[in-house]
This record gives sequence, structure tokens and C-alpha cells, in this order.
Amino acid sequence: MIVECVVNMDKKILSILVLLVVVVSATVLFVSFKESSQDVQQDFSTGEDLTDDDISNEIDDAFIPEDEELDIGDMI
Amino acid sequence: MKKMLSIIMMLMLMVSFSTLAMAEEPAEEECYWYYDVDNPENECVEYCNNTTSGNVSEAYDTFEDCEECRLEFLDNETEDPEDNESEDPIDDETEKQIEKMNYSHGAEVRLLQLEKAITKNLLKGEMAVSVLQGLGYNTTDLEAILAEMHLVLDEVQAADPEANDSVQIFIDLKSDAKNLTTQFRETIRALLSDVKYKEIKEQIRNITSDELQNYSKKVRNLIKQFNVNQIYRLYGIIGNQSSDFVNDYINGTVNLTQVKLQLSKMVNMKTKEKRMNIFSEMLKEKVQNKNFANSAAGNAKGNFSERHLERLQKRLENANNSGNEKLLEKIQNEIQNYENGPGNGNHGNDNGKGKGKGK
Repeated sequence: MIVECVVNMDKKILSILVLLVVVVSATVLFVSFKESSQDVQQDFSTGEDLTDDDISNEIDDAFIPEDEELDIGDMI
Repeated sequence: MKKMLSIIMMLMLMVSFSTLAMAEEPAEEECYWYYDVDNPENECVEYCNNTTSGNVSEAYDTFEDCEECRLEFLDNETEDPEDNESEDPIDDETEKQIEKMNYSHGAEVRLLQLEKAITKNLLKGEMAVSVLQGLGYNTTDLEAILAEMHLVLDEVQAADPEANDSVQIFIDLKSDAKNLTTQFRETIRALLSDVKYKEIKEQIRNITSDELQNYSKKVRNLIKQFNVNQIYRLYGIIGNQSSDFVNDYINGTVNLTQVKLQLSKMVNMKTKEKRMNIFSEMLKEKVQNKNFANSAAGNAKGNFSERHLERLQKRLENANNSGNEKLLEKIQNEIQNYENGPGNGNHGNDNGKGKGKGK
């Protein structure tokens, strides 16, 4: 019955239908691609890869702040 | 025609639904209450969507919860942190300080910092004693503590930063300086009422002198030298040949924060592989320094009590020479406490007073 219906359809309407199917598929594909790329980005930053912070922390550790004071407690 | 129109409508609806379903949900506004850790006297403030500024506390759902914790925090803040200090002569902070002694100038920096800290406390102690004398209090116990602190200062000044046992000397003398500071604080606390204690504390809070300012300058310059060496060391690891930035730091054209930023930039400009190599090289040195500090701390802990007794005996000789009767008596008591103490391990409060909380 569906085949019969499709055969009897106007060419214009068929092309509109095909166009709509393409639009729907494209939307679905685009959204799912966007989501997966966000996941990948998140994995990258939370994974074991080296971050800028790791480097900065190591560099920080190498120095002594110029105003650092040694604490032996307060007299009063 | 109607059939087709309905199919088209259906498809359009599908498109709308699928787009709606996949659209990102707008983030809900999340608001919590926080107090300012640096200024806990200020009331809690509400921030939404992690827009907090400054050094704030953890998040609380309600204002009441936040206020309760703020007041608790405020109470703890007003208590002296030294009240809870452990008896361990090598705390985490000291061990961290020792790590830097593995580099050239490191031991020099630490010993000079200790010298400055003792001088500052001596100045405050002497000021407090003269205020108390003016008020007619008996200050002989306090004066004896200050006299012993002077002897510790002499020992710090005589210490050789290049010597093999410089780390051990630093640990020992820092521990002595901390103990004498605690003794002074507790003795003065026992002498005064709460109100008077707070009054004198306020009076000597921001005390300064030319001597202290000179120390600050000396320490700053020495730390600068230490940092310059560290820049060269990091340049070596990164593979940088230029020394322009070092000169700018020495001249004061750029500060340490800018130097660190520049070094980070240099590393971040490298390839991923090179960055990894630099990072692992830095980590390797960090582990070496930690091992150095661990082993030095372990060695220092080993015969800590025996060394303390030796130092006390030397100070007894010095006290004898100085003719300070009260100091002589104090050190003799300390030695007696050590010899009679459990396992001779009493390296805490040598005057036999407890660590009371009340002020």
C-alpha cells in the first residue's frame, strides 16, 4: 500500500519529502557529531595528558617567593 | 493531495521535535552561600553559577549553614595555631623548606630566614617585657627565655650553610626557636589577664625596626640569587640559550610572576613530546629533592634528643660565662628535665608548663 501511494505521488511532492528526510538526517548527524566532539574535548582535558597547569605548578615549585617568611610562631 | 500535505506536516513536526530534543538544555542557575576565608568577619554572600571571587569557603545551601560555619571558622582563626602544633620537630612545612636546601644558596636562604624570624621575635619579646616592666610585672622568667633565644640566634649566625650538616643545624635550631617562642607565649599568658594580653598583643603586632628591614632586604636579595640559579637550571632543561630575561629579573624590570609566566610560555611553545620530556625532567628533580628532604629529616630525627642535650650543655657554658643567673637556672632545669624525662625525649615545652588553650 505504501509503495502504491509513493508511486502515485507527484514528483514535486516526492522531492520535497526527500529534501525533508535529508534535512532531518543532517540535523541529527550535526547534533550528534557536536556532542561527541565535546566529549572528546572533555576526555582530553581530564585525561592523563599534560596540561598547562601541570607545567605552571612545576615551575612555581622551583622558586622561592621573594617575600616568603619562615614561621616559628608568635611571641604573644 | 491531503494525504501528501499530512505527510509533509508530519515530517516537519519530526524535524521540530528532533531539533528540540537535541538542543542543549539551558543551564539552571545554581546559587550558593560562601564566606570570605581571608575576611571571615564579613557576613556570607550568595554567588550564582560559580561566579565567586577571592578566597572563599566551600559552598553552603543556606545562609544559616554558611553563617554557622563562618562563626566556627572565625573562632578557630582567633585561636593561636601554635596551640595545636605537634611535638614533631620536623613538620611538613619544615620538610618542604628543606627541599630547597638541596640547591646552592638554598641553605643560606633558610638560615637567614630563620635568623630574621628569631630577631623579629626577640624584638617583640623585648618590647613586651619592657611594657610589662612598666606595669610592674615580674619579668625574670621572660627575660631568661629571651636570653636563651639570643644564644640560639648566635648559633644560627655561626652556622655554615656550606657544611654537610647545615640541614640538621637548621632543623635543630628552628625547633629550638619554636619551643622558646611557645615558652614565652605561655609564660606571658599565665602572667596576664585576657584583656591585658590582647592589649599588649595589639601594641607589638606591627613592630618594625631598621634591623628587621635590613634582614628583609638581605633575605630578598638572597632569594633573588637563588631564583636566578633556578631560572638558569630551568633554561637548561627547556633548552633556552638566551639570558635576557634573567638580566631583566636581576635589574628588577620584571618580577618573579612574569618570569614564571615567560617560562611557562617557553615550555608551551614546544612540541608535545618535548613538553613531556621537560615535565619529566622537572619531576625527576622534584623527586630527588623530596628524597633529599626525607633522608635529611630521617637522619635529624634519629638522635634529636641527644643533640638537643648537647646544645643545652653548650648553652649552659655560655650562660656561665655571661653570669646570667636566671638563664643558668633555666638551662639547668631543662637539662634536668631531659635527663629525667620519659626516654629523654622531651623536646617540647622544656619549662614544664602545659600547652593551655586559655588566653
